[in-house]
Amino acid sequence: MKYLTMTLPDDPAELRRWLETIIAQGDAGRLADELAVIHPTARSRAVSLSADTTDPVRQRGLTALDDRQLQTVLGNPRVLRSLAEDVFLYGGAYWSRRFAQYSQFDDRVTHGLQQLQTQLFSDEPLVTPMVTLAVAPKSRRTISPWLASFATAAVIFLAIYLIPSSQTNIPVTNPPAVASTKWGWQKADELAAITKPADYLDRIADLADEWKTQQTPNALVLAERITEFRQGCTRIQLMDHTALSAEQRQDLLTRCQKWAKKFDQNLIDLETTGDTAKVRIAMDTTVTQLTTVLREQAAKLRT
Amino acid sequence: MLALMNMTPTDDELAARVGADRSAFEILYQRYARRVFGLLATLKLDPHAADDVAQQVWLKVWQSAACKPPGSPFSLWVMQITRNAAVDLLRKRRPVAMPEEMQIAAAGHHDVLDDVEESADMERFRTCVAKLPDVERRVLQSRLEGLDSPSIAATIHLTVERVHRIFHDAKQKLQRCLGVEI
Repeated sequence: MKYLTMTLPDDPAELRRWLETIIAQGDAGRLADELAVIHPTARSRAVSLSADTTDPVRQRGLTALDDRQLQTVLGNPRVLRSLAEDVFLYGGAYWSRRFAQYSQFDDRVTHGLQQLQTQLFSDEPLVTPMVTLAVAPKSRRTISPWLASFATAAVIFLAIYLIPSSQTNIPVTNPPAVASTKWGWQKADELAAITKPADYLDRIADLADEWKTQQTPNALVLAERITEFRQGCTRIQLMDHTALSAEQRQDLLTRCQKWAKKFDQNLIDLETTGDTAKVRIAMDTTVTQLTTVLREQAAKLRT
Repeated sequence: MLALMNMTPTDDELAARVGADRSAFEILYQRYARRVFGLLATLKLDPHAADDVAQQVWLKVWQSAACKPPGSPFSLWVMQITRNAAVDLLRKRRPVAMPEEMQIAAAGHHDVLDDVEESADMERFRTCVAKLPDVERRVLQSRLEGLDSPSIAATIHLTVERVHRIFHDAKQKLQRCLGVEI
């Protein structure tokens, strides 16, 4: 169980983006439950948002709320639920883009379509190539079977040879391109250009956030993405991080080691259970938590 | 580019072809399936129930999209079907506990899920929050209402730095109590 209040950003300026992500990921009901525990008297309050408030939110997102309105939403679980339902029902293009940013439902979307195809079109070929659905708001990376096999072999190769080399302090070099272009912490070399510690930590968080753009339509692709993220974690652990003080470096290293264990455990869980949805959620949770921690630390350094 | 854009059919154009055109249906599915699942998750249907409801929704779309009320956007139409199907399911599951709320929900209000689910996880969360000292709980509440540290400090007569520290202590205690490690 992930507790959403634990991901509350330190910086109140981040609250709108944080809450918007929770709503877009379908987690507002759960957050409302947590808020009801933290604000036990809120349930008896008769508070609602007017159409003057909800209309701009439907079009522009939570940036349309002023501070007082945001406090009303966060202070009243009932209002939060109502607002979340409202944007799913009436939200415009802005919310459509937000809903398309997250992939936690991708497996169920794919499985649901396959079931519908069986039910409705059983006399026709079952599989409709994803490429025919290119007008969907979110493009989906497709991977051919031979490419997937090659990628798996490449990932195993890297896991065997890259990680031991790092343990003997051989400088880490960029891994050769495999099935996908570099993403996330695989691009950690970019960090060398950043000199301010807060910017540095923010950039590490931004790179980690690229996990959320990774499509994982099946267990094999998910395993590859986790492995890539894990390798990026190795890279982060072995870098010099000259922008950070010794204490900051040590703190980052300690956290990285914990995150690495989580990635490893998620990969083991995937290999053991094959439960793609559950492991994707676990990864999403870890990534959300670690980016929140990094941004909190960055914010602290700025104050 | 313009030609390409013109080739993208609108929701209404696709909806008019659903029932006879499999590809129109599948395009609409790809456009809105995530939104359907998002609403069902927001309404706190468990994944299994949500999968069933989503299937019902899309079967209804296949059967009825061509007869959708004119002037009603497809997105609103499909999301209302989703919400109604979810409310129906919740009504069947909790016929005695929440009749009044369900009546309200059926009338189009949003109070259907007012009661907090008493899951073991939430009970644990409640216990951990209750264990926090008053001042930490108060700061946490204030932060969760969107107040910044200076505003909270002015309210409870502490320094901003102290409020900042209390907030972090509260989060750490909760994390430890809940077994959330990061």
